[in-house]
Amino acid sequence: MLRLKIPQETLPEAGWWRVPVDLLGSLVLLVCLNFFTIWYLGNFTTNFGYWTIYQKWDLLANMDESVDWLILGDSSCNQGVMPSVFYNDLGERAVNLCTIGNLGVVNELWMLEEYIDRFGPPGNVVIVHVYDVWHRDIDPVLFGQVPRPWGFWHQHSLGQYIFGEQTVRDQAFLERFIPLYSQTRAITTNLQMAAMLQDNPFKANWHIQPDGFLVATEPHPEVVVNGARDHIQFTSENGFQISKLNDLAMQEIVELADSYRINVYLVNSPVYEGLYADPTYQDYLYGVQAKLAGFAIYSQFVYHIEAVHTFPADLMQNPDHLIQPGAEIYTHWLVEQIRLLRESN
Amino acid sequence: MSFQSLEFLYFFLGFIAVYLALLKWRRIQNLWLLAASYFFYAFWDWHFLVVIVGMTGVNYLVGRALDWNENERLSASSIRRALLGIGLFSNFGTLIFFKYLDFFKGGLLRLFEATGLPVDAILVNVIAPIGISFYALQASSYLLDVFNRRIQAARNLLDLALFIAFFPQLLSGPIERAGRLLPQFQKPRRITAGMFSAGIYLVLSGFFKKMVVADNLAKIANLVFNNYQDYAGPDIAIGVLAFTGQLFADFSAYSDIARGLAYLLGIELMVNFRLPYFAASPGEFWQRWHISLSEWLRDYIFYPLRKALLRWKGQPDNWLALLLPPLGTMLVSGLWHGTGWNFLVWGLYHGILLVLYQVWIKEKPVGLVDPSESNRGGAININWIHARRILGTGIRILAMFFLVCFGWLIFRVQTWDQFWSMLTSFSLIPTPNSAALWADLVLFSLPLVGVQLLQQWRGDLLILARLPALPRVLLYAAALALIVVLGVRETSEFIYVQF
Repeated sequence: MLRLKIPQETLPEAGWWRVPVDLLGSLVLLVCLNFFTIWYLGNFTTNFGYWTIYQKWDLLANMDESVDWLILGDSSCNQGVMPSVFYNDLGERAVNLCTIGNLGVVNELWMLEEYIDRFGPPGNVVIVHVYDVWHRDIDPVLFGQVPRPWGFWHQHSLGQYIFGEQTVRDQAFLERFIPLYSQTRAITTNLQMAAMLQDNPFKANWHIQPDGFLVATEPHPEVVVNGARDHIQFTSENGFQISKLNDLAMQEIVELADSYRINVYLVNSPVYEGLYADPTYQDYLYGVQAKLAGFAIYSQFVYHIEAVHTFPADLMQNPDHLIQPGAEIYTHWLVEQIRLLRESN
Repeated sequence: MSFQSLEFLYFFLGFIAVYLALLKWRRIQNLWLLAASYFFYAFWDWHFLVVIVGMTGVNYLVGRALDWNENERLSASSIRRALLGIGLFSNFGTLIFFKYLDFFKGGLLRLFEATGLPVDAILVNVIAPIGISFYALQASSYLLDVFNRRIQAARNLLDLALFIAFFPQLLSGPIERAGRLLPQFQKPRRITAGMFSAGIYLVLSGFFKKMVVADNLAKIANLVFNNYQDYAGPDIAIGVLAFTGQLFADFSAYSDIARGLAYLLGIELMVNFRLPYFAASPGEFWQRWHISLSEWLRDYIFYPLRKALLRWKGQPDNWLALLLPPLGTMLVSGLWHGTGWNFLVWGLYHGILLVLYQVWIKEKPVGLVDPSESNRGGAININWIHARRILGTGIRILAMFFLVCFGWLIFRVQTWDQFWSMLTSFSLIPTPNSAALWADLVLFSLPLVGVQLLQQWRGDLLILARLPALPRVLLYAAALALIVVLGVRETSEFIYVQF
């Protein structure tokens, strides 16, 4: 019978030079790989949030002239508000800097502050949020993805408050500088897709126009309908209460508006008509509207647009995210609402 | 303080810096090593120190007494036996008390209730000191070797304390022999670049096996075993295969890290795994799997039992001498893992495999190939014979792997119903889960299988550490990156630490 030889272990012949080569060589390669990952995920990640935050803050950093309209908000605004429509309808220039809901109003505040630092106060700001963003506690760790020098939050209102704890700073550090550790899901997905030759790993998964508008083309009516069910469950189980940080950040924005005479428009995001018709949704939205109206009531420059624009499922990707034709309709409507508001004042 | 924890990293870096600075002062270096070992152990629970220090003291005294040739009374055979009995009773008594207390708890509680003694707190709250299954065997092997005059007893208590408590192997072995390990503590450390390089490779290999392979395979195995009623068809086999891979990767990872850390300290620990799933027979499996335990059981149970039976019965091929040593040894092996019925059945199952194989090779000692075939001549014929041998070996390896997997099914199940349910719901018809489970199994097993094929082909367990500088550094960096990206973050304890 042929029997496989049982393998042995004999120590390798080696000089002492080998130890630093092994240790330092592999660590240096790992660090290089990490830097490559930072660049790669900023451009080609499958993590939409990471990509959006990176791209929009990058857009803000690379703006070389001021605009008339700063459009801020969450992902519904990102793919729902078209700056080009502002230009066509009002003849005024706009930029869409909307990111994701989990950064909350703090992100809008910090972007506005950075804009003021660079260009002075903008004439107008539009803030668009889905109804269920206002109650959320923000995830400060996500600010680690903002491509700014480490500790940039110290220059912003509430920065000290949000990043006061060492653990938050540590996690944000990992998020910012060690994506090999913090972005494992995105890396794994990218690797899997590349290994299965499903996609070109150096092709961006989304497209943002130079004015910041994210183009979405494919409707997903079934996702819209199913998503609406989840929303109804949420609204039937919860009453509205704004989160502390969103509240604080909004108060800061109101102060900025009053100090610099900036017109700030608080706007409801587009919504699926089936969801809007639900009474529990209406109840919840009533609480949101009351809170937003409360911000406007004591300020000369903050306005709340109470109207809501609803859409059929075939113009949407989920109950509050539009595809491009829907975005065009929504932005025309929004501009019209602003015009009406201006005329009434 | 788990090997994967940050605390351990800080502990080890701080420790080794001082340790290397003390290279010229062996005694102080040993003291530092012992202090670190006790600190490492106390980090789990300081109460455990009482057990290990007590066991060290008893073994030291008994060992010295066993070795006291000047005293005629003490060197008499019956006295030495009695001393050995005391030492072994102390070691195994401690092991049995802590490890099998749960098994006896019910009866003991009833007994104490009946007698009115207030010992509930001790019985209810006692927990087994971690690693006791390993260091109790190690300490016992020391006494047995001193008794059999294979080694001299340790003169210095510090050396023996280190032999029992050396922290890299304290929790899960390898179960070292005093003849190999004690002399290393008794002479000045000599750390070579080869040892250091091998140490780095083994530590990296261990973390890769544990965090990337074992812990990811554990997710598949746990999913199938913990929800076995929801799974059927090939998913059952995938679950068993995942557990087979997990157990090997997990346990050999601990051994790799322990041996790697020991190399960094200038200490050589025995190889504990030699690619066990390439074994072509039950006997060979135990020469490759958990070798330190297998050799312990062979030297202190199998051989003495067989010798005793042969002395008693005389005939070398009597059936008792054929049956009892493997069955008894493997039953003890099963019992060592725990008191669950599955461990006992698993041990018995492997004992039966050993017996059946012994019977089979007695029937067909030359193996699969008929020797007359080699006389037929001609190059084509020789090639054919060689091909048949290779094929035969491949079939044997596959058959043995299947038998081992079946053994792990017994080992892993919680109840007899679960065993039967999993066995009967196996089929080859894929379910909707099969593709995803299979993809994960392949993804996380592939690196391990690839490396092992290379190691087996070259007959060299350190083949990757022998690569030229550039590919080696690239490989190390890739392994580190995969640990960071794919490694499971939630610290899960090594499976064998619980034994």
